[in-house]
Amino acid sequence: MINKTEISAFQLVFLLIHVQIGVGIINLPYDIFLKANSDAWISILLSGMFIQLIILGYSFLIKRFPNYTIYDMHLTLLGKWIGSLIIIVYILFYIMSGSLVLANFVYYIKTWLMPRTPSWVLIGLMGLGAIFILKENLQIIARFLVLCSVFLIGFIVAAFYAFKFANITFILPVGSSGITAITKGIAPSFLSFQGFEMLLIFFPFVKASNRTIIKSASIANLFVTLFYTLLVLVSLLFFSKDELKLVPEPVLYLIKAFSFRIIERPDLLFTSMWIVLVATSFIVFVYGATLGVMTLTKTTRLNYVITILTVICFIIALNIKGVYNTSNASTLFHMYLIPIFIFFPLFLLVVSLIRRKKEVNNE
Amino acid sequence: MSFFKKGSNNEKNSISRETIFPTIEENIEYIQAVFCQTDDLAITETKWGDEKGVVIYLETMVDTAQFQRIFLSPVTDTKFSEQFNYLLASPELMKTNQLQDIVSEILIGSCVIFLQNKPVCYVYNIVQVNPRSPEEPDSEKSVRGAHKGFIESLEVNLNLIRERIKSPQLKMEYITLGTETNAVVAIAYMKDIANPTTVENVRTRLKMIKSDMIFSPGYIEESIEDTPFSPFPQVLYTERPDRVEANLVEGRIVIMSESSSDAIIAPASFFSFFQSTDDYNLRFWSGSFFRLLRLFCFWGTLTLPALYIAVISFHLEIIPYDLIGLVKTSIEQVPFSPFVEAVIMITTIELIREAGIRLPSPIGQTIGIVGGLIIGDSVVNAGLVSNVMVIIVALTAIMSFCIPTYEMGNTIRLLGLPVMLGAASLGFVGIVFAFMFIFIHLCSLESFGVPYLSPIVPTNLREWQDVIIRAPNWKRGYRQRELHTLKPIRASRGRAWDQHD
Repeated sequence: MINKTEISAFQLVFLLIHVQIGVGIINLPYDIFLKANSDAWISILLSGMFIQLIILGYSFLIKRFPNYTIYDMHLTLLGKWIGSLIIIVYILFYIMSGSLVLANFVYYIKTWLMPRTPSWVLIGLMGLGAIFILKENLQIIARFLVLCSVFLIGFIVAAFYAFKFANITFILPVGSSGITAITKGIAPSFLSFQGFEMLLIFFPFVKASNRTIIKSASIANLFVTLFYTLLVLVSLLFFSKDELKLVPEPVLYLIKAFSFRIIERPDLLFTSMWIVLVATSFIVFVYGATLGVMTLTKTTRLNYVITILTVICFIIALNIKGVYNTSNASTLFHMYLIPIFIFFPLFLLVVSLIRRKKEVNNE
Repeated sequence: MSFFKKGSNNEKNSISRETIFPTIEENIEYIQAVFCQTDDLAITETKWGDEKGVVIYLETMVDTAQFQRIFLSPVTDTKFSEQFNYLLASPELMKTNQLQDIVSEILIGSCVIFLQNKPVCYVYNIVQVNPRSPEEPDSEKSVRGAHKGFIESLEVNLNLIRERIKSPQLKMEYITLGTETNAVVAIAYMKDIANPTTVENVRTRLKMIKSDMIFSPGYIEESIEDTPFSPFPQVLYTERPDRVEANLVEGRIVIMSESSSDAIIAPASFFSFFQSTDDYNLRFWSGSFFRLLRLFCFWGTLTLPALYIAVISFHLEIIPYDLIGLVKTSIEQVPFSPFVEAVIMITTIELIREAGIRLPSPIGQTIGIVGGLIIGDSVVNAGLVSNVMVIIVALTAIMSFCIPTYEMGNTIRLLGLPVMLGAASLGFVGIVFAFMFIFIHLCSLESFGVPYLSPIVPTNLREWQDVIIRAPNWKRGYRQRELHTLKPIRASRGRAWDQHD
């Protein structure tokens, strides 16, 4: 098994925040706006609440198996074969998540910062960085993520600064898009929360009571929801409906509109800061896949697993080119979300209730 | 070791002998053999009353004048037994019959006295010391506070520490290191504060050192640090007794070696390298300001040249309209790329620094003038390097010298180069990735179990007041958590009179 290094509940909060806030933040308002129109921010809030319910649902699993990751639960409850099969689904899911993060990352960096740099350089650097940190343990990953939170503050400050130019009439009247549109907007916002389900992978490593773990996950969810709502709201208030249709990366366009005495184009700085947020979610996704592989194969060669997984992500990401390809891949990826978020954990809970199985104390 | 002992055993049986020989002659012969007939081994025959005796010592180690005055003359002048009682009362006198002890005592500057027909010999320590006075160290000057510094004598240094910490809990442990040089290394810590596991850790690592000599504290550092290939220093050097005192009381461990004026403080965290003794003697506001300034210098040294290179070569659009003309005229005539420019200037500054460091100060000043004024001015006039680049590089150098520890300053200046390389090849993206690598490394570093970046990560907000700013002393009620000290709470009710009201 992997080194059972313990992290604190405080670090868990940041772990969950950083895995969720990643590559998507710069185009999130646009995606939701396309579905939910000017009420996109309501969709985000609603999905946040929905996620909170799921987290509370997870607490039953956590209570029953305080020392098992979700991979261990699958193996114990569903037997070797079905369990392994589902773990493979999980591993593929996280490899896909990682690859999509990389592909999107390259796409936006090429659009905004480095149009002529070959993709493999950018993806390769990201992969190297990931290998560099993943060969350490979870404690060190958590430390790094906490450190990276400085950049979140940067985005929050920028968002609040943008309120200076806000036009409140752009979102009024509230609810004008109708309930159907708002519900439709939940789907893309749900995607942006992807990563919270990793709570089920990381909670056994947290040195805290189950109650505290759930509390931490809720705090993380609250933060992410508010952060997303802030970004969406500010984009909606800044751009008119017609403008917003033309700007696929509203957050960056918004920051680009500012100019200061010493920095003419703050968006370049923010794109650079965003790279770190991308890296953090990529790192955690690969780590999630790594834990799956290690549970499945019972190997202890962490370095090999990490390198192989990162290289796989590298190759997949190189082959997802352009925005159409990315969106196709994303659609494929969406089909996974509901099973991973809700279905599998629920199934586990039901099975464990039926079979009256709980964690054996002497593991 | 034991193998070789066996080999010599067959050759000469007497080597393996542990206690002294019955006759003086045999002892002399033995000692001479051990010391390879060295010329500075003095053997003086004397007679005390009726008893014949012999004094053996290394004349290069023993203070002969003092030896004559307090030891030999009274003994020979008056009656032996009477004088001997006087001698026995002296703390410097030791009785032994172990040959090994005798040899090591002679080595550290003792006289060995053999008396005819006595089964023991007397060892009288009278080592010649020529210490310099404990002056303020050049590398760590302070404006306020004590101006004493360590010198090249372990005893004096430990004395300086004891002088400051009058506590029976201050414990010193001696370890002899260096298979050829047998140097004494002392570990000092507060028994009731320092974490026993850390102490044990330091002790084991020191004892595991297999080296022929401990030439300088650098040898010890390299052998005991956690990550030897890291660019960052993981133990703190100091030559100041007050700094050692503060760190001992904080719960850290101090390692001092013989003939070295540096004390090694472990575990050290990243922020200990940005603290200076002066901070604690300044008012809270200025102390905090200077500390923030130094942290800013850390950022500046790493990023400033890289940012400039990235902006000039990739993101020119980030420069505001008013500035663009200024920058453009400056770089227009320069034939090199910004990175080459930066490397030229940085190499020049490093050359000036390296040349100036070991030269006598009058010539050092000349180097400063030639290097700084003449080269700096003419390199711009000749159009080799742009004006702005000279400003940037000079500013960077000054910022790196603001960092109060020499090692950290060097590290950061050196790390600036890869960041610049990143900036030159990928612009901002390169800088971000270079930083990511540096910070991942910093996150993974630990010094004797203490995370290097603590208390930033793992986060302990309470301690930020002593690393980011310098909170008033009476505000800081706790020792650093990551040190896991036995007394996590400090006695720091400095303003108790104020709280009654």
